[in-house]
Amino acid sequence: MNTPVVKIDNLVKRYKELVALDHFSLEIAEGEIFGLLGPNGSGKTTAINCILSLLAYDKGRIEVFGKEMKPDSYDLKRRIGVVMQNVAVFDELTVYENIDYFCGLYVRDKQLRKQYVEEAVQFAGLEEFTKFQPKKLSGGLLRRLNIACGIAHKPKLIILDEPTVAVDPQSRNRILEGITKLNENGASIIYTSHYMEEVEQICTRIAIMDKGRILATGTQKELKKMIKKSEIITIELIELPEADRQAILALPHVYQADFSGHRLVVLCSGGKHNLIRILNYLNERDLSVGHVYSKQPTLNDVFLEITGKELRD
Amino acid sequence: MLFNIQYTWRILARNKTNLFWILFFPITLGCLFKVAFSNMSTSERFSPVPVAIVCEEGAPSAEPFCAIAEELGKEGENQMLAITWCDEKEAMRLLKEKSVDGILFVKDRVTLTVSSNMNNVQINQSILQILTERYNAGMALLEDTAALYPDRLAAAAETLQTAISGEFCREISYSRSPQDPYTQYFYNLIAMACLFASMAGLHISLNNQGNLTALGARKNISATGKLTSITSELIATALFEFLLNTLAFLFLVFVLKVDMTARLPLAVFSILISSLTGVSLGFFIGSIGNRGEDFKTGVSTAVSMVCCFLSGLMVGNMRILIEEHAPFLNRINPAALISDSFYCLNVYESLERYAADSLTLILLSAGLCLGGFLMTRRKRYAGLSNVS
Repeated sequence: MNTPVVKIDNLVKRYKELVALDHFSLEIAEGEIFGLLGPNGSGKTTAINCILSLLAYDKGRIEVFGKEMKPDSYDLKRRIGVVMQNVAVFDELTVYENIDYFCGLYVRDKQLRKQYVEEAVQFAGLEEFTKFQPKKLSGGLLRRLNIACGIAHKPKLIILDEPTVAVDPQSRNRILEGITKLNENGASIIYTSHYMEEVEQICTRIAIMDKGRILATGTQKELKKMIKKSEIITIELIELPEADRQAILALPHVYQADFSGHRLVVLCSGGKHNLIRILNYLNERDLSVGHVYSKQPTLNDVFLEITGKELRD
Repeated sequence: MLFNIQYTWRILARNKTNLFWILFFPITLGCLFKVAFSNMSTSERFSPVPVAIVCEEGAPSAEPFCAIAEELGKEGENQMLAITWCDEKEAMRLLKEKSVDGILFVKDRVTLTVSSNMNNVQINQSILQILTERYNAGMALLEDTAALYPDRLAAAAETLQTAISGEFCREISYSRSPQDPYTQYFYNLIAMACLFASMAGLHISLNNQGNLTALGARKNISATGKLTSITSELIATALFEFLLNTLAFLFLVFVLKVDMTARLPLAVFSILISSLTGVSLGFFIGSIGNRGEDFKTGVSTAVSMVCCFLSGLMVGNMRILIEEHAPFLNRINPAALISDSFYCLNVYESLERYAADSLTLILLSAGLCLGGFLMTRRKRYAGLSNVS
């Protein structure tokens, strides 16, 4: 097996009484887009800052590219690119100069740096704004500049900490496409977010966090398989006698059936042809059916089932 | 490192706040000082005392006193009296019209008449009174000499005339050039401008600490070492602030014509050291604790202003008072040291005290840089809650 890009063993980080990371362990393989999903305050950013050796931790060990990560591990830092949650650029420098400056902290060769900066400008779609100062950019463009500054030196591991916060949908799509492209070009990615749609869209593997702990790790499919609820069927009906509701509840794989407001909501745990089976029953009972919806569970459902609360609570 | 220096210069050159406080504010304040102090200097310049002299023909004092009066009334740099020779009636009229500050009647003795409702010329009246008293005392001495030692009368008369007309005692300056007492405010102004460089120094610290600013966090996780980053920024900032302070200094010297031209190269060297001290001070303050930017900016400004206050920027004789009661403060206060080094350059022939001031400033800068670096050197932070 290849050496993991990031390996975290039993990490504990406390802020006085508050346990921010509680025996946090994680392995991220090369070439992954690894999503850290959790509500605000779940410990995602703390974990990232510990990986980067910015934060001191109480217990545990962190390895990056197979070596222990320390504040002076400059050889490791050279291979890491970070896009922080807060935009960190110089107001006095132009877009081009900002990217050049931060790229220059990693790349000494002037010609190579010039090439990298131009590629980063292109990647972030900032060609028309290279001479602008950051304060003249919109929120979305500023985020894109922040990303360009973090990835210009072509790192092998890119850490993005909620890069789409307060970004318009157009910029968000561009950012997500860009991240996928970076991954295709060979970078391993750690992506933190509390937007499950984003994580579902781009991540190859996901860890769900809450209160400083990892609750579950796996691919989307694996995570969704972990929960009881695997299908939600909603059927519009004029009426449903209680006896019929009980009969539906007795069908195979159905574990919950609620009727209210002319809507029958049926929760199924696994199994195939659940929808057909329910529709057949209603047809036999001569009950008129309106609209019918069948929905697969989301990561929010996974989170809800594991923690008992919504992801965005 | 050169790359970092170039970008630091670019950032500083475009930072309008920095340019204002280091360059334009001292220039503006210098202009205000110049206007205020030039009026005060003019008001303090000595003008000859207007006096009417009424000489009684054949009076014993007429000949010797008139000789002395003519000497004191000679036009030129040392003119003491502006004399109107007239009769008593005319003299009284002039006094009434306030055209003269007093009347000297020359008879057996010289007597002075002044008007009681001329309070604004009390100094001039005092001068005339002293002149009168000294002459009369001298005449009494001559009479005694004539009675007791007649052979020495001529020599005594000559000595007396010399003494009264000012040849005997002459004011001499022990300095390289006579100093306007208000020039010290300009020395303190330069000290203030140099200490304002602490703002730029503060930002070096803030931008290199991962727990204080997002920029600091980004730099901390980069592949450039903290020593390289901080050292290059300290050098670049000190040189840039030196340039601005030198421009402000040259403006004071060549445009406002403030008398600080003595030993210009050494003065410029002083500005270099002082700028470094200012930057180091800010860097040190920024490195202490984990309070945010606003708090540290407040502390840095307060420290600079207190140092300037203690060195006499607001109250002229403050440094002298401190020298009397707590001289140690003047030895460690960077503003007092900067101001004193300029004073030494312009006043003393010897460079001994200037060298001591400069050396102290260099040691102070080195200590502040070292202390700041030890506090910010590579480390993991306990929390990043202040990052903005």
